[in-house]
Amino acid sequence: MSSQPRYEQISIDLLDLDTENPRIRKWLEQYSEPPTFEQMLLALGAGASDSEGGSTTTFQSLKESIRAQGGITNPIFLKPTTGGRFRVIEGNTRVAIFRSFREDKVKGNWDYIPALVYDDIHPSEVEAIRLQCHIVGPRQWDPYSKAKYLDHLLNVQNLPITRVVDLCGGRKREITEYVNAYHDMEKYYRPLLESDSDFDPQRFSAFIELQKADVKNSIAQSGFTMKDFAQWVASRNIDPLNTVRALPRILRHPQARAKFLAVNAREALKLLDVPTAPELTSVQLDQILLALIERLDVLPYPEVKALKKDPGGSRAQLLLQAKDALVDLCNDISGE
Amino acid sequence: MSESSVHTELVRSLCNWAVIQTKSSAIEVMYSDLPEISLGDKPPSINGYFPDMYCVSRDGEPIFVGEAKTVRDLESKRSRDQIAAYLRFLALHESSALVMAVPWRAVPTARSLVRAIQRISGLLAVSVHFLEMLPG
Repeated sequence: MSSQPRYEQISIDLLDLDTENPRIRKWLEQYSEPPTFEQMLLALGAGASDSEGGSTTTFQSLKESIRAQGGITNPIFLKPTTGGRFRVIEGNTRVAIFRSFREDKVKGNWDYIPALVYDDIHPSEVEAIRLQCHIVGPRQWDPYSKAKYLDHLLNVQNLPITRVVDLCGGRKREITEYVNAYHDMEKYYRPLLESDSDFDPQRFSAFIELQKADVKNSIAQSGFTMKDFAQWVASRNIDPLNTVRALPRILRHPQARAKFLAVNAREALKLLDVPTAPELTSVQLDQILLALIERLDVLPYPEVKALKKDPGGSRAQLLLQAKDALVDLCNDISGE
Repeated sequence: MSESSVHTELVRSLCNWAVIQTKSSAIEVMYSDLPEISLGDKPPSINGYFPDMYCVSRDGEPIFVGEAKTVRDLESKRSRDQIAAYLRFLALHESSALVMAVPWRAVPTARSLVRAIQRISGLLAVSVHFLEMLPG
């Protein structure tokens, strides 16, 4: 950097949001006049809910987290302009949230925001900051580590769950599932391993899926235990991990259950799948793919809702299988 | 480090490991898929797949089949098919082993994956060695 930044608490009235910020530029380009604060807020809300490499942070959850914490921990980055004002280099969303809280008279002090001010910053360094913040980005913790930390907060530090939920920006159900999944994995899976070096945190998502409605019940009703489930995870009878959702259907079906116990869920599901229409076996792959794309394009919304409601259902599971197969093939084609 | 550089480093680790083994065994020839190795010294196809490292003894018997996998590639269908193909081949040759090189954080995943393939294909007798503490 050409100069060291200085840390200050800056009045939010002195801040101009950066309309050139890549996150919102695409939304603001539709206005011919300079955007109003309300238009900026809409753009930030829309831009922040984009899928960002698996990140689940949304505008709304960031807002709730800032509200619960009464502020922010990471300072925003500013560049002085004229008349004692500053341009936001990084932190548009946080500034917008502070302003909306002040406008809505949310309890707390939203007049000043912690900032790092770069007095003499070259445009290329501004781009470097944006690249580091949004293209490289902070490294997300893996789901097992998140769950372990949540458990530490709740059960070692004894923070009330309402407080943890608020700090995480809501999502109580998700947090409870994470912590319960962590307990199940530690209680049933870890003791099965020969040594701690065999512990595979990647298997954690199976225990997350285990928390979904009906999975535990169907395991118990079929005469199995949580220890059996952990053994299936360890020996990869449950493979791929998203097939946990299909366990109720597999365990109800005698042949599928036998195949599941002998091989794995992937093979068991084939016994539950709709048989291929005989006339499709002679059709070219290109034609099948085109037909699939066209069919998905016009899938009625009630059907999408039905799939969402029953992710363990045969159609949803077939879609997930098709996705896995396509991703595998596409990765091979692109050499990744 | 890019995916392909990680892979190359993993293959190099396989070769280094095999060289150390040479001192105590009868390795005659080592083939590898390193960039600097000429085409004639690349590993042969095994049941339709080309491993990253292949060692044979003086009498031409296979000793090691080595495969390097990045974290991203490890769980793919192609990887599973590849590992199954090598296990089927090694099951026919006593005193041989599959050697897997994956980044350190993927070793437990690789272990459970290979064990599951062995269980499903009835090839539990094939010995498998996992290199430890590799970067990536």
